[in-house]
Amino acid sequence: MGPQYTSCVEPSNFEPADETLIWVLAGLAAVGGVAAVLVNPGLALVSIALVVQALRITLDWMLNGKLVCLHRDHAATDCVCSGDTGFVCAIGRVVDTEAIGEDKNPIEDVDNDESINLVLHPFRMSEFVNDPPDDPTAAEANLVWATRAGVAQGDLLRRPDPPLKRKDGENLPYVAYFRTVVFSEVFGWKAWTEVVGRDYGWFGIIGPDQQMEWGKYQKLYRHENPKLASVPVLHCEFEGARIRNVLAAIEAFSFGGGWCKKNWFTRALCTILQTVFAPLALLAALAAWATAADGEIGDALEGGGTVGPREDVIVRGRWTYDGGHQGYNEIHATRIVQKVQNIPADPAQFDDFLKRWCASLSVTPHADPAGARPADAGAAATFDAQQRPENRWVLHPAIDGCVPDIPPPPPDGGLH
Amino acid sequence: MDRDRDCRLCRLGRDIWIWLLAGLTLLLLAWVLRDWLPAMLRLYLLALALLGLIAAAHVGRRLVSKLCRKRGGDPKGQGSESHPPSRVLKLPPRTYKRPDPRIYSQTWLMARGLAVTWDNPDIALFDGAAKAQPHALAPAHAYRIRARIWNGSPEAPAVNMFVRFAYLDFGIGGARTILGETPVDLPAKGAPGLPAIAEMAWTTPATPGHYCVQVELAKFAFTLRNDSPVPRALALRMDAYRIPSPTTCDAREAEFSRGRPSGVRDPFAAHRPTAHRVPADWRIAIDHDHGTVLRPFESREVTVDVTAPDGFAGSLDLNVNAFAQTADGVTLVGGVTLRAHS
Repeated sequence: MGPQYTSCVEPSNFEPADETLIWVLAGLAAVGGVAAVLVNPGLALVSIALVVQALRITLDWMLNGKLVCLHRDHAATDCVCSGDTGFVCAIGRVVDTEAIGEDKNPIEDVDNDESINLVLHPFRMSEFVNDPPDDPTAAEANLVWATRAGVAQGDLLRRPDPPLKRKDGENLPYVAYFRTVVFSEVFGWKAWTEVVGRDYGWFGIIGPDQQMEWGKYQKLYRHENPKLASVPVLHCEFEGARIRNVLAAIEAFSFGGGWCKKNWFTRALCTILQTVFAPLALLAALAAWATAADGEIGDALEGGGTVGPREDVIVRGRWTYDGGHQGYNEIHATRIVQKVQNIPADPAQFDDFLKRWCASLSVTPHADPAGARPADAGAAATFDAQQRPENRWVLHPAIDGCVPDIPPPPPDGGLH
Repeated sequence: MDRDRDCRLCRLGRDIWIWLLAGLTLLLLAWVLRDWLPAMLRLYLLALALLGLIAAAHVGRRLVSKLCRKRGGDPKGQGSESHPPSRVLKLPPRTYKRPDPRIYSQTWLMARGLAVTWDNPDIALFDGAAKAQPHALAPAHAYRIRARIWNGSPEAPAVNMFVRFAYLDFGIGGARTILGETPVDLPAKGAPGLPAIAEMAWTTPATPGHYCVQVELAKFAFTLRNDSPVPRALALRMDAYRIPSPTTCDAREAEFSRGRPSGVRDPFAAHRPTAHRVPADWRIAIDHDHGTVLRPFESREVTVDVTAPDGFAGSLDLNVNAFAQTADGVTLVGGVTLRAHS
């Protein structure tokens, strides 16, 4: 399975990031930096220590506090692909993909996850077309339509009712995740980011103004009458290693960091250690930042594959609520992706198709770490069967197989 | 050369006396430059502070740049305007899974240097509930073809995977007629329900064909067809391979632990063509010149005279494989399995 470095918290344990503390630390660090230049260079040490602490608090929250665990009601869905209610499967069509750092400020760039957005089957894109195009309520109406009662997989995007409550009793906001799609009765649909997406370079925008491009597109293809649609999607993230690596680099200078939160004494000791070693920790963190593998693409590709817009896939991963943005459900981390074909368009047939896929995946061993025995009983039984000699063939059972205790079913012998 | 130097550096690095010497040298240097130490410390800290300010300025510039850009675009999750272009993601094998459907494939196996039989162990014909004799099919009769599909992937099932059924006129390079497709669900290797079974109804053609090889009939005939749009010569090679009875798992495990070859033993020795030469006391005469060039889609009858040794009892499979010489080397075109029995 793909990597998962983050952990999630139950809604009742969720606390938003302490932005005030982080900004105070960052502000003091900036003041300390100026003072170090103007007054006493020794203040540079304090300034660096404050930067490292702000970074550590931010990273710890992003890694262990930002995601809220969600649990699927197995009695209300046809798709049960694991005994763990937090581990779900979904079949959808890729609307578009998102680059690392998209929509994030430079601090959040530490999150180097890749992601894809899925419009969940069964769907008809024409049902999401905004009419009129600038209707601000269109997105909400599309969400209601996509999550209406009885629609397969609607529960994955549905607004929780009653709302999830966080630790301080406040409701967790939910707005869902939307992507813009260009729709035409003639050519079908394309993601906005395929039609007029533009690159942002390190030193500024590369590419033309999007509204101007869209205007040109409308003129050029006016015979196709292209329209915009705000489509509710399931956001699926593939985790990169940067947050984990940078945090580990910082905490290495307090000898692991895991023991720091035990009591006031260990917290104080950790703070002293991290202050003393702050310049080294900062250097190590920068090195970890620079060398961390991006979400998935840093790996060798032998045996892998590609996923792009308008491809049908089934994804398997942890279902969470992202508390770091405006509030939406997502799959984070997406551990397994597989392409899917021959999807029935009829909703009733799709329900059966989905059920069979999920049942099949429920007995497929996807374990973490690779090669470990899965926790689910069905997958564990398959895992055990795979260890038996009769299932260790590589070419074909007739060539390098052996006689099992229970022979395989007929037929045998015949035509070519 | 570099490796030698690296090794010398490694050896030096492992020597504690080198480190002690370096430490003493550093102390000596500090003592010599003792009057300059406070100034050097201040310089170091000043450099740190300047670097920090430069980094902060850089982060600030990026932050403002992004914030300005986002003012005109959609926030994360609320649309796509002012977002970068969508790209195709490359996923590694630990995340991206794909099924590996398998059926006994002569071309695939022969490409791996293995002998093949054209009596496919994964395909069978049924007449009602009874298994039909593939060498004695009635013309214009309704049969069911049953195919057994395996999955080589332990981590990727497939649902609604279409299996296509077709038949060839008996012979080599015969015309292909597609019967239809049927979906099957293919579980992962080792999962319940594997092998998957696909079935298709088939009514044999009304014209009787060469479906049967009679006992003791020492003359076989089949059609050899060049199914290519270019002229080419087809070479015929013959062996007596038949899929051996599978070994017991205990025996296989004892010889090849976890199915892996050990030492110099070839785990597929029993499936190599060289292990299945036509017995020397059989006399085979094939009415075919390997140098004869067949025109595009030309067919010709090939006869095989087989003389069994005196007193032969039992049956012998004779696989005739046809190869074409191409720019990429030798390519398997097809084959037939002739069965001689007493």
